[in-house]
Amino acid sequence: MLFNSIPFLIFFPIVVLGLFLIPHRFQWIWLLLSSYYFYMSSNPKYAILLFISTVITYASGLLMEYSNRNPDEKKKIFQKKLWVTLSVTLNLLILFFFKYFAFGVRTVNQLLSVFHLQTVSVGFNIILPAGISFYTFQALSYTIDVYQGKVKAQHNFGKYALFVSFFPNILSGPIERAKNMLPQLYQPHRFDYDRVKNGLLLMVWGYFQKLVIADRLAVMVNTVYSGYSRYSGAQLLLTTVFYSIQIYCDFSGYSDIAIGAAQVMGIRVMNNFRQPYFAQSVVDFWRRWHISLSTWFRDYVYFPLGGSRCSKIKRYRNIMITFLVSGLWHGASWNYVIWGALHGIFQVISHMLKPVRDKANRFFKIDENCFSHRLFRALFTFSLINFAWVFFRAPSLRDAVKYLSQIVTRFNFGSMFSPSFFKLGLGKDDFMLVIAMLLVLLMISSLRNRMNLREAVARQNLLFRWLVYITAVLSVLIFGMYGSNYTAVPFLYFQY
Amino acid sequence: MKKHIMKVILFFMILFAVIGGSSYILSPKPDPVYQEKKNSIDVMFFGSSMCYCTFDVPLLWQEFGIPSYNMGKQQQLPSLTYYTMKDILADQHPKVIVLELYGFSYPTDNPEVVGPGLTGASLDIMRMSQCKTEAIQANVPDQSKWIEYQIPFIRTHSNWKSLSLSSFTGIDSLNYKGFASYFKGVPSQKPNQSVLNDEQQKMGSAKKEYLYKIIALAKQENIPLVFVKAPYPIRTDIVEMTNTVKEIAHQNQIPFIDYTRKFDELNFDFTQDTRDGQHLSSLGAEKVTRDLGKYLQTTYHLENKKGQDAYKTWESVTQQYYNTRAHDVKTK
Repeated sequence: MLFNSIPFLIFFPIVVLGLFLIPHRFQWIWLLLSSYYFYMSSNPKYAILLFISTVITYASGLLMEYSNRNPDEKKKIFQKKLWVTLSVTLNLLILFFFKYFAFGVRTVNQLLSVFHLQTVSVGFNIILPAGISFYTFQALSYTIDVYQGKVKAQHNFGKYALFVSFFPNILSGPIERAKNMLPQLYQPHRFDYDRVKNGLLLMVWGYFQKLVIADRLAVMVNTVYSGYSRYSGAQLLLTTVFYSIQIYCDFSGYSDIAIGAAQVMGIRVMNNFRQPYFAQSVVDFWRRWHISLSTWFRDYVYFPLGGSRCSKIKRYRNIMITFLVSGLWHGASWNYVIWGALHGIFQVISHMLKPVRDKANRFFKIDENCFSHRLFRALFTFSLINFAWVFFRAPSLRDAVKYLSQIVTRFNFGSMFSPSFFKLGLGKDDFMLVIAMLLVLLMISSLRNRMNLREAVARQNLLFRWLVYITAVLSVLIFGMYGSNYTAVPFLYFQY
Repeated sequence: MKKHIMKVILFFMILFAVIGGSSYILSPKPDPVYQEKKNSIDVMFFGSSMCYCTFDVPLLWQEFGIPSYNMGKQQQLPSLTYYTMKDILADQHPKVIVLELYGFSYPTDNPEVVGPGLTGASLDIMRMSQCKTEAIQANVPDQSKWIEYQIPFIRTHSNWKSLSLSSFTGIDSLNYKGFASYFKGVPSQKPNQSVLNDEQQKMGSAKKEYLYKIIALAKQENIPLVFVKAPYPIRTDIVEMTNTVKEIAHQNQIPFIDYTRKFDELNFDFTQDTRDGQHLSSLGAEKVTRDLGKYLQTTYHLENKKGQDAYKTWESVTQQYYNTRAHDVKTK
């Protein structure tokens, strides 16, 4: 079930109403049943994998707790390591099989064909189960947290199953941590006017980002990327910028709907985005982009590798490994690996150049906090991120390289003003609308960077508040790209 | 808590009112036929675009005093004609129904091939009713899309790009109780009479099913049916399909008028009587309607209702039509 579908608009109010009406002791059961219904409505078979992953991580938690009682410290550590390793390995094996097996076979075949050897055929198709990368990581975080003693093992299987399958998060995150989420799921969920209102507002904002901006930009991005050789460099450059905004609005929109939906039900889910394109550096970008995933990699990959408390070389190695893995997590393709590598390289270079940069700033007496400097850094960072997104979006590595070279070799600024500009998929009306909506996005993002916007609106008088709320809902309903007059665009992060 | 509940109720009432208003502006309005007084229409025309371009409602009023209404809709399949007819007959009991037959010659039975926009053009103008639900279920093969026809706003919200004054008022100034006038005729070729044969063509099962349903509905309502084929289009396949319908009409004692064979009788002017070589211009429509009007009035003893208070709207629409026409001729 998709957030941007009519079934969800029926499902969600029923779940919320049921949750507030039933007694506390049954609330988690209601949420568990709702979550499995939500997950199984797309393909019931996938629930088997979800269940297996839940059983493995649940059992590992109990086994580690049991091992903790072992008076022999050596045996205790050995057993705990065994259980956590088993749990992580089994979960990753499932993930690897469904996500990377076909990629592995493809890569092996490419290598074999280089040496003119017979290629391998597997004889079956593997379909990626929805949300597997997200719920696997969420479940793994529980296993590792229990191992590290950050959380206690959950004894009630049903309650734990709810943590893994909680419907707002299951398909595309945010990837929550047991420490934050587990206790909340079983607390009483009562109706709270302000909380419900704020949650609904966040959902409306999420729908706005997704349906009004991201899906509209998707039309142009898809048109241009599917035949980029026909377009000028200037048009390709604009499309690259539009893709950066599309993927942000798509994923941030999804996250806001998920966080808002959880908030309506009384569950605080971690923030996933914090105005990432205002970032001052690529390092800063990763503190603001897909926060639940970047902190996951930080806690469970980068820190265990040694993090930054080691030699410079090792630190750079750790950054590169973390971002290569992050790239691979996004998809089974070399494009994602290169994308991850680029982000790693940007950060390594940034660290290496820091002393030079600091010296230059001191020499030229540059105030690092002045607006112009911050703007320049934000634009420079945005350019780097844009560059990397081309590898993320292009159908293949070769296409990405051709696309980038065409931006330089066929840059024709005049093409932006030719009538053919409106043949890039978006008509004049839609183009003008999306530009206006991008200004709204920029304004709201700037305000959110400085204040809690929902609270600020809540302080205004009733007429203004209601005007804002009604305008927001109406904008989504009128300008949203839904219904059969538009082609529905699935949330981009569903494929990861 | 009570205060909150009241506030929430008030907020959602305002929100739904605003959404309802937006939906009204952006969606096709229910056909104005639903606003006509009950049982006030004596002749109703049903069919495709050939229907709304051929049967001239103002002329029937002006020359015969017959209050009529044209329910022709663009590329309407017989399956949609049936439900449109069924829904309207709940309010109206015309003395005769005229069915234009071009819809039976469409190469497809599948509403999806006709196109969801056109299916929508027929479905969206129906009021909310059980009949509309049945029409949707019968004409929209994809069940997941049914809700988009029950609540057209889901599809039509994209109409913000093409807002016009009529979006707000619901008044289409070129529409005269369903008759779509087009004053400027273009030269067309005289149809090749050699295509007029007596062969018959097999009719698609859905079209056949709905043709018999239309016949049964008219019988059940005790309303005489007249089958009419407009002068255009003329092609071998259309002529043969028309012959098939003619056979069924004879079997069911339904009068049948084929204007594809009456060009000379109509004194048809091929320089100006069509608007595009297919659909009739106002001048062509006038000739066909005058001929049909005579037939209807004498056969069904239709009373001349001119001057009666209950039919003021026919008078005003007719005046408006002829004023516009006179102005259009002057400015040409």
